[in-house]
Amino acid sequence: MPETPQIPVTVLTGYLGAGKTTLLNRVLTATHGKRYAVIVNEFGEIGIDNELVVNADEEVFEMNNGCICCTVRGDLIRIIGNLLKRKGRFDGILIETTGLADPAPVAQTFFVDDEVRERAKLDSIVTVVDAKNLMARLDDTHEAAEQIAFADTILLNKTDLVASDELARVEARIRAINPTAVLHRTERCTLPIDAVMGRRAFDLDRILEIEPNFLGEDDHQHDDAITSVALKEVREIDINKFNAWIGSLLRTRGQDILRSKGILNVKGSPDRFIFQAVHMLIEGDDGKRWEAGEARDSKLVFIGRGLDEAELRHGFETCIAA
Amino acid sequence: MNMPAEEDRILRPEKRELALDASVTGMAFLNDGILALACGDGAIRLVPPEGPPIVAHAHENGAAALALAADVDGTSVLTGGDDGRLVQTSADGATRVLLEIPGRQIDVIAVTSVAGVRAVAFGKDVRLIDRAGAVIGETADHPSTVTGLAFNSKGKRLAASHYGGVTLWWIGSFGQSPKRLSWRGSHIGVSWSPDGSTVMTAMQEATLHGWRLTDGQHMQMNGYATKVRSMDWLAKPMTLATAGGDCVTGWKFSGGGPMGKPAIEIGRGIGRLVTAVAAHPNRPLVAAGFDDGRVAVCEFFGERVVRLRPGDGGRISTLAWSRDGTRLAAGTDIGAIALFDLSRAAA
Repeated sequence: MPETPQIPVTVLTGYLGAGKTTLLNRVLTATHGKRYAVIVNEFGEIGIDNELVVNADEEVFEMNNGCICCTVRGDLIRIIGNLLKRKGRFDGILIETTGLADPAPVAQTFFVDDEVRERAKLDSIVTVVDAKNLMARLDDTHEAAEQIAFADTILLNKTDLVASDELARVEARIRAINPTAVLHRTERCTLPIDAVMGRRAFDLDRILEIEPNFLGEDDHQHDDAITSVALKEVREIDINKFNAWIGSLLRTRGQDILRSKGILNVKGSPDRFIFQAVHMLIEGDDGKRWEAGEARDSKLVFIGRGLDEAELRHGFETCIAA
Repeated sequence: MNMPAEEDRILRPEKRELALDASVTGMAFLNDGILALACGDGAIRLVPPEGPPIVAHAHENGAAALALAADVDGTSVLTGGDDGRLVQTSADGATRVLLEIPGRQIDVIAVTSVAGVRAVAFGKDVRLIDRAGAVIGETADHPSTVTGLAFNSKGKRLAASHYGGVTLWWIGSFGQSPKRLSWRGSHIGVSWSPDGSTVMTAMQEATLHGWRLTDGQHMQMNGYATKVRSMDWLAKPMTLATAGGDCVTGWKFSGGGPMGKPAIEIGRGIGRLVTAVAAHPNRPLVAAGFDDGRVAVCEFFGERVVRLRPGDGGRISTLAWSRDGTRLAAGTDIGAIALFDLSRAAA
């Protein structure tokens, strides 16, 4: 049977008014020569009559699979299955979530449902934040921080509405929550479409650039705040030990660990091993080949609540190959 | 547990073939032996027993036709598309839009020819439309998006599946006094047994769930490899045939079953995932379609398997028997259609 490549799926989160609809309209109207389907939650908001826009009801279902935090978007399973019946291929699917939505069920849908997984792949989570209002949202809600924590790409939008020192403070606050996301400063979400669609390989590779000490200590964190831990290891990793450790870690702590990502130097493999997880659901793949002379460092990043860096480091060290 | 199947027979009956370039999403035979088929290109094709197919552009602008049923009169076909349209197409290719909900995918429809009513779902909403095309009932009283609709054989009741179970309605008092059948989890399709005694659903977790309406007894069937995307009933002895495993799985409801009785494994030996099933209209036979494009006709209660179509890479997405059971149509998700004439083959 011919292997059909999986269609990359981009999940778009962000508070009401942050600029999600502006970005959706750009994806639908920009002359990029690509065919993107857009799944929205409020059909009327898109002022464009376009047959590639589908309305969804944002129905979150619990899975009866024994995984306590495993919720999925039932409506998406159906809608994506139907989109794939259309003649011709899509270059990508963009899914908009409502302002207060937790991105996890959307992301988890692409790990859990076999039919969806066969044909579509979570490419990245894009979060649009409003430079002017973000600080207030972070103080009065927990969803704002979660949306930043989940993001692979963050659009710090409406930068024209704030002064540069304020912008620097907002950016530092974002970085304290999520040090690995690609951050774009935008006005009216103006940026090339390929900065948000079809990102996966590039963005995961960025993990290698992150230095553990870069994360630093943030002085105004409290116990339930979302933070991140980055780990680096220069010795080779035993993939079986790693799978056992990460599996067990995420089974027990996966509710608090929102996202984890890593690039590993696996003993006996010439290729990078790339993995990412949303809560308890893990996906691993062979990545690019290590180049000659390249430092083969393994890097792991965890984003979540109540992370114990020493414990995570100790666990990772048990995965070093003998 | 069973002996290996005897060597399957391979039959090469007379057949017609069509090649389209999008997924076949639904098929049904109309009166006069016309095969109606829906496709991911949005067109409805009407294939007469002789002569070329008529093409009707029921769903346009790149939309796909997602669901198909023979319409109430038996001579036209009803389709739903992801252009939000519910369209009636008559045998001469003329189309009539019965409903249009922009931005919605219309993928759940049901028809009862006995009562002359069509049902269509979009989101939590279900509407009933009579022969003339008038909306005679509407309700959104479902806890989540409706994923499947099925009339009972008398056309008096309608079952709607959704997250958390099924809601049963009386057509005569649609929207009032729902009966709720509850079971935790996401139900993705519903089927009503021919005798009206049982409502079965397929679930997201690759199981079947059922309710015996006479006494409220629940039933649960496990062990499927994937979600059960296709199920069909043999009326006598009443038996449910299901896809979702590496053979057709049958559940015999007569003689005290299916509880406590083992499943019947039909058409073993091909060893591929069954993706579509269709029970023969009057003999204890079931057509099985596989994920590599193979098609076989199997005995429900015997070992005999007749292979009709070799694998070609696409997966069988839909199967349909003609009313008299002499012809079988199969369609794949890459647009291949085969129409077998079995009138001279005594399987």
